[in-house]
Amino acid sequence: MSKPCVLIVDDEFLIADTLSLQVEDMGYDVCGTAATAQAAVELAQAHRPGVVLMDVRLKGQADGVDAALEIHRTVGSKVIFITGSREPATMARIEMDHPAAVLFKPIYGQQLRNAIERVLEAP
Amino acid sequence: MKLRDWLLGPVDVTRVIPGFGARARLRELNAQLQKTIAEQAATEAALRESEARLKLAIEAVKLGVWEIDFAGNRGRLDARAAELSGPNLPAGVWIGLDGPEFAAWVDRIHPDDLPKRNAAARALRAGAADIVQVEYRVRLSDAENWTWLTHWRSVTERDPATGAPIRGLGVIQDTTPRARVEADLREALAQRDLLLREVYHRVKNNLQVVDGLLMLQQRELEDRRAIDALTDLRGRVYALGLVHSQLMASRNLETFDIAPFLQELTQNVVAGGGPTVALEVEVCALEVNLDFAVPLGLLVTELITNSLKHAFPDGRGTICVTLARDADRNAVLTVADDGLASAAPAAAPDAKPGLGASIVSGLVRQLSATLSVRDDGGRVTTVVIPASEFP
Repeated sequence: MSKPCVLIVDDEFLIADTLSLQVEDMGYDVCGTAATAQAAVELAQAHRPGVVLMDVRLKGQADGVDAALEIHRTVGSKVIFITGSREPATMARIEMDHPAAVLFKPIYGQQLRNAIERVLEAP
Repeated sequence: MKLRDWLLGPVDVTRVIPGFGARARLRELNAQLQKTIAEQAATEAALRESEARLKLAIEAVKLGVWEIDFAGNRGRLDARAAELSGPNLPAGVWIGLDGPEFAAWVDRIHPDDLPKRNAAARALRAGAADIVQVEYRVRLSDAENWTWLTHWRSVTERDPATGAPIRGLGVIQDTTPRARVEADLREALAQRDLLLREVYHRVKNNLQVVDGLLMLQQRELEDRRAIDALTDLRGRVYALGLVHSQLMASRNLETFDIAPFLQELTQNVVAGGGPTVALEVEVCALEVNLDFAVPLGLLVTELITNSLKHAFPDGRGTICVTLARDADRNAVLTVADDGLASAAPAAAPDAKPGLGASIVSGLVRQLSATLSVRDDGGRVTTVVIPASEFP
């Protein structure tokens, strides 16, 4: 079985780009990077990624939770939230999606690897 | 002898027949009467004085007063209480507490405040021992704005046998100006918190971007020393970002507990040494601010990085980080490894101290701390930070 591909959603180019590089270094394919919720949903539907790395704050009206809920509903990918915020309001919003994992910025390479591996091993 | 007893009590007729001794008796009775009248007058004056004081107080703070008859389940408002209550409740007449007038009044109360208003009413009906106070918003006329009313209620008479309330008194005051100022202040404070969180968020995000740039740069390099230098740099940037991340989650936005911060920081730095390096962390709870956490976080990062670089040539070993308070309330940080102590760069006195070593000594100075290193089956670094350095 080939390794599942990973979709990366972050409106900050440098963060999306460095996340991509790290994910590729781990041996996964990156099926795309998206800066908006809409692009994220479209890419997910086109590539059916195993894992989505999802920022909460995105460009445009909809946020990462909106995108994750839609991806969950239509594709079923596992979503790892990568958020800059630990505020209760943001956390409550993330919990709406029952995320596979939540990572807080700043994230470190090993942390990301552990999270992706754990999420993919889980049933 | 009270005047009333004297007037109405049984009178010995033989004692008041004029004659020898009767005059003296009359004089005595007269003196008693005069005294009783004087006492009565004094009591009345005191009562008037007390009433005047009460009236002054009620007028000064513009209190409405209302009475509650628990047995009759009804209440009666004075003129100001009725005026403060808007057009629904008339003054000077008894109104059923469960009747339509009060129901219409309750309808005008802000839905968010209704539970606490109802709880206060219930507490009084249940015979509350203390004064029951409650502030709530009510829409008095068809005006846009809410009026804030504060009620104080108290049971004034109880059934001597059961203690159940019979009568109660309530005072009511329009506290809108103060409540508005308070609401404005709360909003300003919330706004400040929001802005401060946003600043921490942006600082943290920018540090993540800096980390991304360092990573991209690192991938362009081939020189091992340059790559390692950028790895160290990324570790330092990470420590800074983590401090801001803790601050964002802090309740007061100024201080946070160092324990979870050090847990997370050390886990991530040690993870950089690969899966064969174990970590033990024993850290006490300690509220710290930015000025303390930044140098401490950087210090811990440097000390662990140093161990990872020099202590474990075969990549295996354990790093142990502890933070505790000593008898003088100073914070004692230790970073220990079970590797090759002699391989540490401090053992080479001829060499110029490396960047890591000079950062460590600078941070120790900044924290007014003392640093000592000993060899105990590995390298043990102890940093004692005086209690005056943290909040």
